[in-house]
Amino acid sequence: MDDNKENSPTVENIAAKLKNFKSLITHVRDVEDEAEVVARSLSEQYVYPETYQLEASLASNLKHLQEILSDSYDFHFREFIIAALNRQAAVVFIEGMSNQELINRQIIGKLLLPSATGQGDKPDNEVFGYLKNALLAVASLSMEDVMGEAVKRVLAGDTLLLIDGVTGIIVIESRKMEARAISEPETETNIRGSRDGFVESIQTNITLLRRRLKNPNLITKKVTIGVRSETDFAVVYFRGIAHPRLAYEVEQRLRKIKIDVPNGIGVIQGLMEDHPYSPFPTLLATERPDKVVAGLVEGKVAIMMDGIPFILLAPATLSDFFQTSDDYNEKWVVASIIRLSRYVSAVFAMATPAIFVAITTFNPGLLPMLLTVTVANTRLGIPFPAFIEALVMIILLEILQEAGVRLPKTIGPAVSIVGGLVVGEATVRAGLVSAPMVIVIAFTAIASFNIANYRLNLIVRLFRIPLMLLGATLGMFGVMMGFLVMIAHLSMLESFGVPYLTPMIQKNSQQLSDIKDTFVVAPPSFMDERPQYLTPEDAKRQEK
Amino acid sequence: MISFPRVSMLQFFIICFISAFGVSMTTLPGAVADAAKEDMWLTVVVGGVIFLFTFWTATKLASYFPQNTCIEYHRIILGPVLGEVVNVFLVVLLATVPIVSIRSFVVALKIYLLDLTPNFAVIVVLMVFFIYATQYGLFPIIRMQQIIFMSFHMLFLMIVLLGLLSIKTINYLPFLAQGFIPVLKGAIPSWYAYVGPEFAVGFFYPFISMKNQVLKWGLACIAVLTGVYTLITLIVQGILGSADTAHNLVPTIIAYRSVEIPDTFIERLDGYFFIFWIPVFTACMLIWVYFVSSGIKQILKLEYNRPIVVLVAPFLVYFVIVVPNFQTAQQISQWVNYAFLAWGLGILPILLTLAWWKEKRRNVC
Repeated sequence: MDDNKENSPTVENIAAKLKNFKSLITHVRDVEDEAEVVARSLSEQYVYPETYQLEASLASNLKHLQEILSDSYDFHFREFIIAALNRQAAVVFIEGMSNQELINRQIIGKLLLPSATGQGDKPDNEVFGYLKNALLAVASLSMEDVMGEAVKRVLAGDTLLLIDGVTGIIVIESRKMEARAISEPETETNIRGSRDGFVESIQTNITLLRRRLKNPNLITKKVTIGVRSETDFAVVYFRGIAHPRLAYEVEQRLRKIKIDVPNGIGVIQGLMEDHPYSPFPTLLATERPDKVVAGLVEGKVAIMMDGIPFILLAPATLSDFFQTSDDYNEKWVVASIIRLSRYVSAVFAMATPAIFVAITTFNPGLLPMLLTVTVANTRLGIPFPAFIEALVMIILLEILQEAGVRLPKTIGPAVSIVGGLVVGEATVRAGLVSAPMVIVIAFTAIASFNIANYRLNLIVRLFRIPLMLLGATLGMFGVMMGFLVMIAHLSMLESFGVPYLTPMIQKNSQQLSDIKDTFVVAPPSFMDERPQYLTPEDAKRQEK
Repeated sequence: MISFPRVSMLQFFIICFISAFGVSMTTLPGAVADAAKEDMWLTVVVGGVIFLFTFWTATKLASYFPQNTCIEYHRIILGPVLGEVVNVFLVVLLATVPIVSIRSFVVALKIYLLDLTPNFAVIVVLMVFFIYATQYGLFPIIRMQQIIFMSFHMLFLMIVLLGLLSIKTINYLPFLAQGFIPVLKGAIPSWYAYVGPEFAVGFFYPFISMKNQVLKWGLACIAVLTGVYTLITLIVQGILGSADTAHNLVPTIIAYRSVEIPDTFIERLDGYFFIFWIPVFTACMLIWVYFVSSGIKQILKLEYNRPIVVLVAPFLVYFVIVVPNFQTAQQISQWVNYAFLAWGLGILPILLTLAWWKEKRRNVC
């Protein structure tokens, strides 16, 4: 009875069996997924192309390439017969990186044509010469006999030509990558200077320099960095001007970097700098070709990275961050005043809130009596001490500035209006912040906009709060000590052996001439010498 | 781009100036007014002229040992034992300058700028700064001195010049009423104001690029120092008169309290005088702390003075706090002044004579 009951197909039994069956299916699927993962992990091991040997057989070489490139969908190969040689061949290229028109017309198209002279096959060692001289209508090609190098070239956009029976790969230069058009630099706009800026292509960037310096002494040395990415870098300098030791030092530091993938020029900068823990940059990043050219002819060395529209100039001193291209396009008097205003702005942008807090908290006697009374009256009823008041306003300012940078350009101004006008006005009306504090913070913000370099602007913003804290705890003594610590830090910094405060401070009277392009801009006729601190090979810049 | 760094003559000039200028200009007029009355400014000039001899002695002595610092050539001249005794005396003497000066500075700061802030906070902040600034050796310190000299010293000297607006010429008379003897007597307390360049020569001579120019640049620096001190003394005398100057502890600050520039943003000058005195003072003290740490480093024959500064700083803090008040600090500084006088006009000439005699004997052999 019981057995019958157990075996009887009741609804409960069927449901239980179905549940078990469903669980089994799920389990089988899990096992299948796991097996797939294991299989993939076995088949997709990290590949070292240099471990593959080139063979005479086309099929073997193609198989190796397929293994190396793991059948990626942008990897293409096309097999055909070279009519003139009656040999099996294949072209291999990466879609989107190679010039497909060139591959179709000048490689495959030419190789499919029968020989006009009716010649038959050639010995293996003569094939490359025959193709180069008689068949392929391309400007640059070479023979690679190492698989690793051939793979590097195809990944850079070149086309590989594999021929059956030939133990080598013909590499045909056919790079053509989609690139952003040359446009005006967004972070370094100017009024009267050139409007072109660097782009992501290192070749285009070198072209932008060569267009300005048509001189065989402009040296570009290729350095590859990135164990996994094989990213192209270039060290650029002007032979006969740049000190050879500087060029050597830059190249050596670059070559010593053993990173898997350099994600940006900032990473490389951090790995090359003399003082990576300092907030001050000791390499100047710019996206202006005219600025790089100016640096190169002064005796500096440029570092270019493929895929990044910024170029680093070495060495960089603090005064470099206050210079703009427009300084040299204006009359020297005007340019000098503007440049001086940048230095003054940097000091104001950093210290105004701190000085205001110090004065209102500790040293009101520094202000004229009437102004002291006015400030004191406006602060009546404010529930916070001056430091908290300033801190809140600065945090608000920082948020607004950061929001303005991240938001689309169409919304950016709206944020400024809402933040600056509406919130500012409302806080004063609500009695949370005094009107002089709003003026101080607004002045600080405007002063910071006058700093020519964005990175320097960030540093000025960074030091604002510690200085304010010193002002709030130790008054003007604290602010002064803050300045002194900063000067001590700047005095300690060096960029490739050049003190960071050069040429603001000269070592001797011979270097005094360097000051003509530091705080002020001297008339062009005075700019007849290159900066002494760079120890250029040729010190003369122009004949008087 | 890495080259062996050397101290240029411009840098040497600045170091000499900063090592002397920064502490005593606030008390100097008071110290000389007591002895020389209306001729107090002349006393400062006489002090400067006598100090030229000390500087000449120090330079001449250093020139016998172009590759050695003063700590090293003391051992060569006097032998290892006596040389080390002199070195220890010198380091202790050097250490008293920051101790006494910081104490006086902190008291002045408390009176005129930070009345509610505990002294300890200010002393610790100063010491932390000295530790940080001396961590990277001599050349960052020199660069720092240069930038401070070009900015803060210039601004400070401009403020000093504004004091001319309040002087009364009647305060300078009568001239030499008591003869020249009080002027010479007054030169003794003025000595402390000039101390510094002779030690700069002693410690930095091996690093100087053009050693044959040291005397010329050093004398020029002392001439400039004498000019600035005389100007400050003249201004303080012109504002307060010699009697008031003699009775005040920090007559220079008191004098600048009474300088007013009405209808301008700067109504009263004392606050600005004080604020710009902070970097001037700190730069001066930094050099002296470096002297002390460098001296100890060389006595202990160590390679770096980084750990020395860190170890010395707490002792300096302790001794600064131990000095009970401004008056005691001033009394100690008087004794320190005598010690420096003995060093400059006694020990240095003896060392020079011994060095000359040794050199002569070596040439004969």
